[in-house]
Amino acid sequence: MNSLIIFIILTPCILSLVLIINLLLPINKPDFSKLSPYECGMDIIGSAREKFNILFYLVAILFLIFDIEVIFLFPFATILYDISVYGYWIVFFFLIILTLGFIFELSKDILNF
Amino acid sequence: MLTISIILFIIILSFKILKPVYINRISILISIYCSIILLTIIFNTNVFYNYGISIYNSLGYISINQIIGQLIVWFTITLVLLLGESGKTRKNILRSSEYTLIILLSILGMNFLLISNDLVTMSLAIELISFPLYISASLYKNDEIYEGLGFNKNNLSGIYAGLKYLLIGSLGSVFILLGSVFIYGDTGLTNITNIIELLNIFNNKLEIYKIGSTLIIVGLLLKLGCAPFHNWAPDVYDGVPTIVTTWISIVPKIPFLIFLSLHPLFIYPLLSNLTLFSSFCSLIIGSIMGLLIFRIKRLLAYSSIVHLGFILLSISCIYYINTFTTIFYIVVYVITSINIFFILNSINLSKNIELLSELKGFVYNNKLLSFSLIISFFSLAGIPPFLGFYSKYFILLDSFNLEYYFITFISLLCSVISCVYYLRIIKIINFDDNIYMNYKSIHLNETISIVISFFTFLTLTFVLNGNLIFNLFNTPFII
Repeated sequence: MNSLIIFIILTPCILSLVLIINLLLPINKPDFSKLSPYECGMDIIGSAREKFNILFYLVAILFLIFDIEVIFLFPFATILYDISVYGYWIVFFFLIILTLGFIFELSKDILNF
Repeated sequence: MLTISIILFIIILSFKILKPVYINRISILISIYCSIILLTIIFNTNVFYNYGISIYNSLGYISINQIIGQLIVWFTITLVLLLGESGKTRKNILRSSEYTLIILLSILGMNFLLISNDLVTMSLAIELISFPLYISASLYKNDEIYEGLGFNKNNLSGIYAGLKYLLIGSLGSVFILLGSVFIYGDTGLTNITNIIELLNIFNNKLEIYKIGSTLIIVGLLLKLGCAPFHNWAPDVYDGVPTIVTTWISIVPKIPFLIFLSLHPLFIYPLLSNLTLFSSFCSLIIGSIMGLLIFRIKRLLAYSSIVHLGFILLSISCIYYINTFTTIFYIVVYVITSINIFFILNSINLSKNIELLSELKGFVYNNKLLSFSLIISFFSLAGIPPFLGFYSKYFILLDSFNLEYYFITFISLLCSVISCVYYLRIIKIINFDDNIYMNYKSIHLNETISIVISFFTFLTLTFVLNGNLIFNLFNTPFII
């Protein structure tokens, strides 16, 4: 544990040393034109952000959830012979719970553009 | 039964068979039914007093303390769901049709956490508790339609608060998961009873296990809102509409605190040191930072930090003195907090209140409501003969008997300092001129007025016959 303790103590010390030197030594005189984002050397016209359609995010999140459901079905497929009917009904209830979520999401009608 | 009802509600909501109001009322009936069942279990069976029962193939463990915790959760949730009856249908919180469903999912997680006996079910239950909280914090925008809910004037404040809550709460969940990974890595077991048996053999030789349990404790304290992990609490409780703060500031704390206090998963000298340090920080930070605040909900957030300091102090005393002071303090805190939040919600029905100065001269608006507000603030401050004094008294008695002299001295000092901002509110209500409301009288809903009057009656008359509550909670803790 000795080398581990030294490692845990030393790295924050070195890190904070470098950061403190960065705070104290350099000349820091911020100006409006220095802090503004780069727009090919010209004056700033507008904000750099634009509206993001939340539909993209929703599709990605829903794909993630149902993809993980499919991942859970892979070992079920390989071992189905051993767990025959009893295991089938257990996975059936698992799928029903996820289908309920799917029904709820469909009823909200959010995937229309 | 909860799972079946949640499944049915999902189907009902998706096909729009019933309005959300009826789902709210059905869930109120379900919660009343569950709390009555739990009450009868506590009073009628003496099976669980010496040992508990493992359920779900030893993924769960039920004893009398878990049943008491579940009773407290269900009881507060009936009250929280009653708020859906307040206000007119245009200004109601049930404009978003999934509100009761979110609360029910959170309660499912809370009951599951209280029952859980395994590291995996513990993390699962904590996620089930937390996600509906993040959702309901950011569910409402500040439109004119949602006027009676108690918003900030900032348009998107609920969404900002929800984002902060999500990020910091998920950090807490990450700490808990990493801690359980360390524990599994060191012991090779996930079942908590098996881990305890292993700990009895290897008393002090499990180094990585200690790191794991400290991480779990840190994660739980972060989710509760204890200092030094408290920074999210005032921002979140302030930015969220008032109806939502009634339950996100009170109800999640109950299962986390009971899980911290009752589970011998954490080695007791380690747990008591950490919780003592956290209670020390909470008491000082909550009492001193609360002096500068002029918004009501921020003040209540800082006062909740102080009360959490007291509860953590009693948690660190549980291993040595086996009493019921934590659960008693939790019940008292829940009663007074729900009283105050119900009063704030009833004021918000007529006029939206955010600042303390808008409560000036509230006596002239509604005498009885200001009377109950004053009594609940006296009880929070810990002034005899109201209810809050006795809970603090028992905790300080325990810690004094255990010779924790310094922390009792600090807690006494901090309760005196916190009295300042409670008494300042009482002075503002009583003795200032009624500038902001123009002597307008405030009308109440019937259900809210019944709840407020019952709880003020409890805080007033506890002195005369406290046996009723003590008989319920005078049970030995099982470790």
